[in-house]
Parts: sequence; C-alpha cells; structure tokens
Amino acid sequence: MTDEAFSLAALVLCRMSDAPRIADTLLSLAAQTRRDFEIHVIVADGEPSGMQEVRELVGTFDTEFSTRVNVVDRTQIGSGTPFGSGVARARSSYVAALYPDDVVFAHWAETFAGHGRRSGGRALSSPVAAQVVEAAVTGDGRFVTSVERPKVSAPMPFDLIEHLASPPLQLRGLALPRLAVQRVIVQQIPPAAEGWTVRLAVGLSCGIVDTGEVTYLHRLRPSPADGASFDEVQWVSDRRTALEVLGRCGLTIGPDFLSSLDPSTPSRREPHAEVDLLRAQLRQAQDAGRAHAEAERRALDRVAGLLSSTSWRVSAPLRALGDAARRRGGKPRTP
Amino acid sequence: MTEVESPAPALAVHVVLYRHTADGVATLLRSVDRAVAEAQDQGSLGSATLLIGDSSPVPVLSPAQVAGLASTVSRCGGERLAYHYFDRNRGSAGGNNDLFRCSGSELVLIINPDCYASPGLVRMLCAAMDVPDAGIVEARQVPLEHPKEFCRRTGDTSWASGSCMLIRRQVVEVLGGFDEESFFMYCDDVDFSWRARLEGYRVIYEPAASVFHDKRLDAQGQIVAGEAEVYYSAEASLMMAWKWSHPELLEMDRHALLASGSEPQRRAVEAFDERRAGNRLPTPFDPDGRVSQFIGHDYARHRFGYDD
Repeated sequence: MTDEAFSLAALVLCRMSDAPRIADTLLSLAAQTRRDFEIHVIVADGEPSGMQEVRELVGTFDTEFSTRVNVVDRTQIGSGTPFGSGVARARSSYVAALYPDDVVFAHWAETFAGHGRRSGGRALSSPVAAQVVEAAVTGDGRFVTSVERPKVSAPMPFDLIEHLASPPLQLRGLALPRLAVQRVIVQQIPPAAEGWTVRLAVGLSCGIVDTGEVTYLHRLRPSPADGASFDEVQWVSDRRTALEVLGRCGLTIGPDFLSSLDPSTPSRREPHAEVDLLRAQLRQAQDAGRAHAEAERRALDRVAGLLSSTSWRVSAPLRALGDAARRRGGKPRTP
Repeated sequence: MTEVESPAPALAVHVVLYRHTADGVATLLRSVDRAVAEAQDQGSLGSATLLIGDSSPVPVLSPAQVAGLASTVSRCGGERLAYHYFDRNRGSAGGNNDLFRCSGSELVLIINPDCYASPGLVRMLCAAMDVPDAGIVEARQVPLEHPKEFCRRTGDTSWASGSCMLIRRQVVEVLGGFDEESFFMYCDDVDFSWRARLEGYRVIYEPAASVFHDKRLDAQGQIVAGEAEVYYSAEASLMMAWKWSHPELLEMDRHALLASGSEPQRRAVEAFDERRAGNRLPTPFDPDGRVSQFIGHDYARHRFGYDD
C-alpha cells in the first residue's frame, strides 16, 4: 500500500445522551498532530432534539475542526449497527472506532498513518491504556476525573484460539481495513458480538499488526454506563450465530472449521477451560494429521513462493492458511 | 444609588515556544481563539490579546506566518496578536515574565504550545476565578489528568500546573512573576503557586475546564520524558527542596541522584552544587511549612502516581 492509499476515518459511536461524554473524545481528535482524517459521530438513537445537542457540541469547536465532523443519525440510514453505519459512511481505507469517555493521544492518527503505509493492508492494533475514572459535575460542567493510574495491557497478537474463547469485546485501539470490515458487517451479526466478530474476521483475512505505541485511553467508569451485566448463555448463542454468519462470508478458513471450534454445548465453562478444550481438540487434530504434515509443508513452500509475487491483500487467504498450519506444527516460510 | 456592573476582565494569553512547528502553533491558536470567543459571547470576558514568545534558536514563525495567524484568528487577531522572538532560550519562567511586561490585562492565561484548548476552557476558568481570593485557576488536562488531590467542593489544591493556568494580574504584581533565577523550567509553577498561597491567594483546580496536553505513555504505562525533562526536573526538585526549606530532603535527593541517577540527573546535581558553592541560591522560604507539601517526590497529595 502506498502513502496515498492510506487514509483513516474515526467513528465516534454514541447515543444522544452521551453528548457530554464525547466532549473529551472530540477534544482529543481535534488535538491530533495529523489532521487529514475523516470524523463521523454516529448517534445510535437519533431524534431531532438529541441530535441537536450533539451537533451543538461539535459546533463549539473551531471551524477548522467542526467542519470536518460529520454527525450521523444512525436511524436515518438503515438498520445497521452504529459501527456498521459508520463504516458505510466512511470513505477512507481504514476505520477506527472510539467510544464515549475514551480519548486518544495526540499521535493516534499519525501512528496509524505511519504503520498503515507499511502494513500491506493488515489491520493495525495499538496497545490500549485503561484508566478508572469517576463522573463529576460542577456548575454547568460535566467531566470525568481519574482515580487510578492508566494500565497498559501487553500487546496481544491475534490468536485464533484465544479469540474464540474470549468474551465480547469492542474495537478499541484498532484501525481496520474498511473493505475487509464491510464484507463482514453487511451480514446479520448480533450487535453484542459485532466487535468480536469483526476482529476475528479481520484477524483471519488480513492479519493484525501491532504498532507498539500506546495511543488509546479507555476511561472506565465503574458504573452501569460501562458495567452492563454479562449474560454468558446469550453470549454463547450470539457467538454461534456470528460464526455461522462468518461461515457464509467466504473467509479463508471454512465454516466447518470455525464451527468445530465453537463448543457444541452452551456450557458455563470458564474461558480458560474453554481454551484447554480447544487446545485438546487441536492436539487431536495434530496427531491425526501428522502423516499429512509433510505434504502440507511442501504445499506451504509453494504458498511462500506465491506470496512473494502477489499483493498482500490477494495473498491474505494463503497467509491465514499458513498461520493455521504453523499452529499445527508446520514451518512455512514467511513472505 | 444604582450598582454599576464591573466590565468583563481583559485577558492576555501567553504561549512560549521552543522549537515548535508553525502548524502546531496555528492549531493551538485556533483553539484558543474559539475558547476566547465562547467566553466573550457569554459575557465573562472582555478584550483578549495573544502574546507569543519564542525561545527557539531560529524563529518558529516568519513575519508572513505571524500576519497569516493574525488574520485567521478572529477574537485575538490583528493588532491583538504579538510575536516576540527572544533570540535566546528564556525557559518557561523567563519567557512568561517577559510576556507579563507586554500587557496590563487583569487576567493572564498561560498555555503550553503542545496544548489544545477546549471550547469552554476560558469561560470555565474565568467562572472559577470569580470567587473570593482566587489567584490561580488550573485546567484539567486530557488525556492524562494531573493526579494532584483537590477539594471536590471548592477545587482548592496545593499548586497549579503551568501547562494551562489562569492567573490574576494582581498575583503577578505581588509576587514579581515567576522565579526565573531558580527555575528555568519545571517547578516554576509549583513555586509560583506556593508563593501565591503564602500571600493569601487560593489556587483552584477547575476540572470542568479541559485542555488537551500532548503527553504520552510508554508501553509500561509511564509518561514518556525526554532528556531535557529529566535534567530540568532533577534540577528543579533540588531547588524546590532548598528554596522551600527542606535541607534534609535536598541531601537525600542529591545522594540518590548521584548514586543511582541517570547521566542527565547527575549533571543536574553538579549544576546545583556549583550554584551552591557560588552562593547563588535563593533565600529559603516558608520554614514552618505553611503551604509547602513534600510528599514522596510530589508537591501535593496525589490520587495516584503515573510511575507507581
């Protein structure tokens, strides 16, 4: 991908009542060291009065910034999720989601642009710092104040097995190839599983590169705003639906393989137990496929040869195949 | 007799540059101009001037760029925008002292060049200043808020960060500005705040007034600091312990920095020792500890530490 080909769209996902909670988010976008990116504020539950509040908030910023911000009433553009609506509106090659209360560091866009030029179409992931905050009000000002130091999680390379066992997640810290995302979210994915599904699909089809730069601050409120209770039974059902949908998307790894990794019974196993189960299944597959491995290695040598002569996007399915094989003990050459 | 409403106060905005980019300065000024406009439109602010001081080895702004900025900002533009090239590095304390002499406005807003003002910044700071004895009001920094403790009811706090603070001119006149002889950069704001408090002024934190300050975290979650920051922070910490009458802390810090500090920190100790040998240290203040707070390596009780 060339310099000219990389572009970024920030999608601020909120509800009407979140207007005060996106003030800092917008401030952090306005303060970016690089300003050539799209900004869409997607209001999930738009109605005229609430939309006006969001538009007024945007209008308080200087015109150089406010005129770049596109406030979108999600209900006016079909039945998609807020993220899906934002992706549909975006024209940039990459999209990045931001959530109420969260802020980005000044080099957020610059970091993605720098890595985007070299990523060859892969998704970009930056370590996310998480900080507990509390809401407060003084006079006519509403704000959050920090109560703990931010904690940065170690970079998590995309791991299929870990991902399948992980709970629902949002898309913090990611810049995702728009077209790869669009292929997935046009399908009917349960909203709660959207972030999980998108990351899975992008991880499989494009790969994810870690930028190593902390550019996203997730500000956590220990309150109902962030602490919706987790219904594991519902999650298992949503995840199965999501995997079925992905199976129809023509991803590199076929639907049967994905489905086989989903525990057949909606158990209440802890995630680590699920990981153990999945690993055991993989070990069985590895044992059974030992005789097949030699032939596979020869095939992968050919794949590596092909990769060197095709664009990254075209070769993504082959790479995913290589990744899968590597987990099973093969040692394909990397491009 | 009818009560005469006092006119809204005038404001001077200070920005001291050092090797910043013209583009970054323009972004900051647009945000400040917008924040000034909001405060003026709400009636809480009168006229505003923008004073840019430049400590860089070569000017950050050309005359044409200054003229361009003056024409693009609406409320602080035209003749209300002035650019002063210092032709030497005055540091933050010296640079602001020079700019203090360039206006007589009732209020002064000091804002770092790596900041971006929220639209409500000036309005909120002015509102917080409008209480008895308020001398300095500090904004809340985004994304990394300063962890100093503050009174949740009144906003009173130990000191205000100079990255974005509103000061009543009277405080500057009473204190004679920042102590640029002792503090080149870092802790000039702590020292200024404590001297203001010794004079009976309140230092108030106004979290509803937000300002973006370009601070970054490393992969361990610690704030990224450059070499100059390490050097001047060490120098300032020694000077703070001396000036605010904590000789035991001074010696402890000296030894710790010499024994296990980085190279810039050891150089800072040497520079301090030279000043002491040359009898060029200020007269210690506040021997009874009326306002000074030395808690660990902080100058206030902190809610948390970025380097814990």
